[in-house]
Amino acid sequence: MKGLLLKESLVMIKNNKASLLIIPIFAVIGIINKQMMFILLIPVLLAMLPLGTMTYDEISRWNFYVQCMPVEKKRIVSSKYLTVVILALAGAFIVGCIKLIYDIAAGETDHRVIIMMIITAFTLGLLVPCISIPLNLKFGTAKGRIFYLIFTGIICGVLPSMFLSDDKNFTVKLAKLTGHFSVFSIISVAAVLVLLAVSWTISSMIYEHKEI
Amino acid sequence: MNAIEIKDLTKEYDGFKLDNISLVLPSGCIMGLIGENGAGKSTTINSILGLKKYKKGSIKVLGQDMNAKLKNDIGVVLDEVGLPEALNVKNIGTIMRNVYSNWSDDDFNRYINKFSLPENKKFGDFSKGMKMKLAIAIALSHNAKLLILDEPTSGLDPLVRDEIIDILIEFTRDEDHSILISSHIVSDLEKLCDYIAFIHKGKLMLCEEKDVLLERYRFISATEEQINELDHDAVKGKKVGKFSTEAIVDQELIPESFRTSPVTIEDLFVFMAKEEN
Repeated sequence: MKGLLLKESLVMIKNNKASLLIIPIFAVIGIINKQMMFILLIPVLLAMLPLGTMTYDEISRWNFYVQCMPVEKKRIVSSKYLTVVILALAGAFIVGCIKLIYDIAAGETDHRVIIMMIITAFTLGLLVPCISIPLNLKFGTAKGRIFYLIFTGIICGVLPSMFLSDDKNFTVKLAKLTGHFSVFSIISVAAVLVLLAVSWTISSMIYEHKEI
Repeated sequence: MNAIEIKDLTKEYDGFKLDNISLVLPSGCIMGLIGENGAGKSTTINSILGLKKYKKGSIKVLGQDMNAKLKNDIGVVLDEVGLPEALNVKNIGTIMRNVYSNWSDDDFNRYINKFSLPENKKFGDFSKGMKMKLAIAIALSHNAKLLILDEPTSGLDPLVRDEIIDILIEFTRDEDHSILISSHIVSDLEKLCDYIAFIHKGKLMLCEEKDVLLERYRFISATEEQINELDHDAVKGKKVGKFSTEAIVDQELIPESFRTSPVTIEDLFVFMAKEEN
């Protein structure tokens, strides 16, 4: 596992130096513009890195070669997810730090908002990879991207109509939930961890049965 | 113990069938898999490595069914090496040290120096020969007992090919070390191998010791009528010319009166493949 994680990080760093340089630029722009939502692009950017590595693996045929090494298929999948989790945690940490610095500079610190932003950053960092990784493993990264767009397109098409029709007071219930800080925090973290577990299980099953 | 034992291996795709392949590579020997493009060489190798699932048959490698731990003892070189393009030799050494339980930095550095591979150059900037040498250096740096090489010399110049063949011969000086190598550059295999397995259109045409093959099969030159009168099983392939017909025959099945001349493995491969077509 250590070798696989090393490979993931080396490939990510060597291929994404420019992307990593953008992080402090985003932070500075967010602080200057007083736009904390802009800072949330950082975890999204970090989440894209392991997906890019999957494309590089396909191009170099690493995904073929790695199966000739003494590594279980489950570990190969797990190394991808572990990288995603580490980056999501890093994204959440960076967002938390920037928000804290901003609040201290502004002279008002609200720990609830900071925690909310950390949770949102962590969720954003996991959301895209958790949907994309199984699709990439099943269809390859080129087709996987198209299926990802279809998948998210359907969700984005269905959810707004649910909110708009609102015959079950969905919006009111959601507003109450987000207003209740601790419940919202627990449910968000639990939901994203469930998504992570489901995604990992599906990916492991796909990879186990996949022939290269 | 045999290095590889394949029994009745059958694998089907759309328009292709690897049909009941059975072969044995004894420990300490080198076997060459010969066959035209698409004959089933890579499918056989991928099945041995567990990269492809097969419908029927069994494969034992170093006495075991394929498993992740066993791959510590197998050095693999694929025709497309499969290392990340952005990484350099140092990075790759660091990764492999943490992947193989019996990795040897000393061996790796020795091969890197021997092959004059630059340590800080990106793998993506390597020539085809350098990439192949790096793959061989990795395969030889974790105390593997068996090397499985899929077309390691294709696309390389004769000098590099010769260098690689010498290294492979050196590897089998240890009597526990074995090699399975596929190639359609038959002359390379003829230099290297103890055993030859010839796969054609998914079927194993023959699997025999190289010296036995070269002794048993001979060229004859005769009229077409004379050749047609021979035992059907004796003629492995023929080429009809304007004035005479050249055939490769099983020496044991033809009358002693025929004058014969030696064949090469390449002749045997070409004549047999054409006869089957």
